[in-house]
Amino acid sequence: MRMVKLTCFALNIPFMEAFTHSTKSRAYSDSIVVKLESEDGCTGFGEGVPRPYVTGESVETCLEALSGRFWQQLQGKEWPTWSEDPGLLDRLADLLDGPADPAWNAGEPATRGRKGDEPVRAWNAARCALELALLDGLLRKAGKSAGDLLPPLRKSVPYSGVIAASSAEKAGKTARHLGAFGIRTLKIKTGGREEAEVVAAVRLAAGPDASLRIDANGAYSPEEAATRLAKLALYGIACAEQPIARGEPGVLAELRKASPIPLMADESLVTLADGKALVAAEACDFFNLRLSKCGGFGPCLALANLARSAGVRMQLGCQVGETGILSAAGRHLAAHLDELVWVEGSFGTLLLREDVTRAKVQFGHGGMAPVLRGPGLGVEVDEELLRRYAVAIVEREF
Amino acid sequence: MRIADEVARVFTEQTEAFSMSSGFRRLETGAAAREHYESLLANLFITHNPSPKVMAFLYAIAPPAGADMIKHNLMEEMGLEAGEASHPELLRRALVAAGFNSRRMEELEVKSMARIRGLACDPLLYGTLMEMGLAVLLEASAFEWMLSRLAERMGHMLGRHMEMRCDHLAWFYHHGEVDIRHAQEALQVIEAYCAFYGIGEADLKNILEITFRENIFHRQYLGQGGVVHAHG
Repeated sequence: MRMVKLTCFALNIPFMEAFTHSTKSRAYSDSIVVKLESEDGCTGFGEGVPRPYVTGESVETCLEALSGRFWQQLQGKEWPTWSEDPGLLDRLADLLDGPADPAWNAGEPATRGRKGDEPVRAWNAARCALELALLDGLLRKAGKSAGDLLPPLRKSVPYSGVIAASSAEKAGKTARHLGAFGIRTLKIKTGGREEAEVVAAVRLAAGPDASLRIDANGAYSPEEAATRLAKLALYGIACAEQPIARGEPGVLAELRKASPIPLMADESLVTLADGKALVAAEACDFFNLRLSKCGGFGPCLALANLARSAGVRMQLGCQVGETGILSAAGRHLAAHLDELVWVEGSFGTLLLREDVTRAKVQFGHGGMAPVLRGPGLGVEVDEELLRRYAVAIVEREF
Repeated sequence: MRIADEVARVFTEQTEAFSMSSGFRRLETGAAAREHYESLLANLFITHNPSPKVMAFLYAIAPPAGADMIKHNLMEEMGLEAGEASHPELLRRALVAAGFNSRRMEELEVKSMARIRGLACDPLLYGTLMEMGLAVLLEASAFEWMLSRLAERMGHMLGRHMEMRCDHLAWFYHHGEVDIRHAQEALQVIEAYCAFYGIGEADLKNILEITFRENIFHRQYLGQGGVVHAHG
């Protein structure tokens, strides 16, 4: 079955309320959902969430890459088929990462995005969307679930809550709401002027037994970071995610020595090369794996293997505003990697005004969510909703 | 904090915000296109068609002091109180009179039941039925509160701008006839519920904030499930 049609939906789904962190405030999702079709009617859906400040991809450049270089590489080719062998993800990698255009490699001038954007480090959001669509389609065709590819090692997945509030009052209120849902593991977005008050309010509302961690999204300068972390450590913080901006791993390693809080690499960890450099520099205690940021299941598993062998612990993060498609993929990976210390995502309509999957892929009380068992990624996509919330639709046919 | 006062404050805020929203005003003044009135009707049906089932759920967990009133509402919804048609049937008649064909009605029926399916299948955010039941009771009471104040206006707007006859709009005039005192009795049920289950002020406030973190009337009637973007 040859791949004959690609449709990219650039979505704009309003949030229930704005999500704010130190570098961005978002009021709507800006995912790209990819639909891949074969000549005999096989269909697969995938999703990527481009972030200029993470991989360098913007929605516009990602759409161009998907409908341009990626589609040129895929169109007319045979859709890989299901097999029990462990090399399926490698076969997808051959399709997605092939040598057709050497300029795909990080740092090449040709991979730069639009004027004003960060250079594209890797087309990981685009790759993730296509890898998931390829997998969803081939698994459906074979009547298999993503759980057959990534066998679940646990029956349910525990998710953390995330608090992105600009004031202590709002942060405390959100912590109380999440407490009503039985969520006792919380991540707080920091980096603002009132960050200590925000963290204090969350600690007060969540109680002494709640597990709190912070994420500064690179907002601290290397000079001030240790001092700010020391202040926040007073509130009992289990981990600090990306305190300083992505840069030389050695700088993060220096901060790690001075920090009273264990450190997690997020924006610093985009590619496998990043991961190796972080390990070599002993720069962090945790890796934050994210499907869209890292390029899909294949690259995430490679990073997980690296982390495991280096004794680095792991979190599976998510993309703010991801739909149920990417959340479903995250659920499969989280169920498969039972050593993950924390898992984020599956916020569903707690954040989005409406999700594009027919059944909710949202966590329940205590942040717990079941392993998905349905064919493909385990979700049915409502294409009417995709079209309703699309601000751009790009189609390519072979 | 007196529970009834706090809940009434939230219901009033929600109702006023909805009636003053540009979407509602455009519908009321006739500035909206016909498809927007049709979409309003479709969303009303999706929202209220499952009401007897919702009332039955609330009756099942009703506190003794509030059970009679919920039972009365349930009987009304089912059309068993005064030998009238059921409320979903009244709504169905309004939509058919507005030109909805059987295929479209079937689609709306499926969509409305998807909400019940979601209620049963989606992971529960609250830890107990007590908390979920309070959220459902608050939402159902809020709709009753709002409809006692705005249903007649909605009926008038549909009569005027969709040229629908009075007898086709019975659902709206029926809800408009429910006097404000009747809607306020719902507050007593909420108080009785909180007393029966030992729900404190802080927990009630939390669930109020979560349930009404957006305007539920705008969300249900104008915001989703149809093509109404009348605020644009």
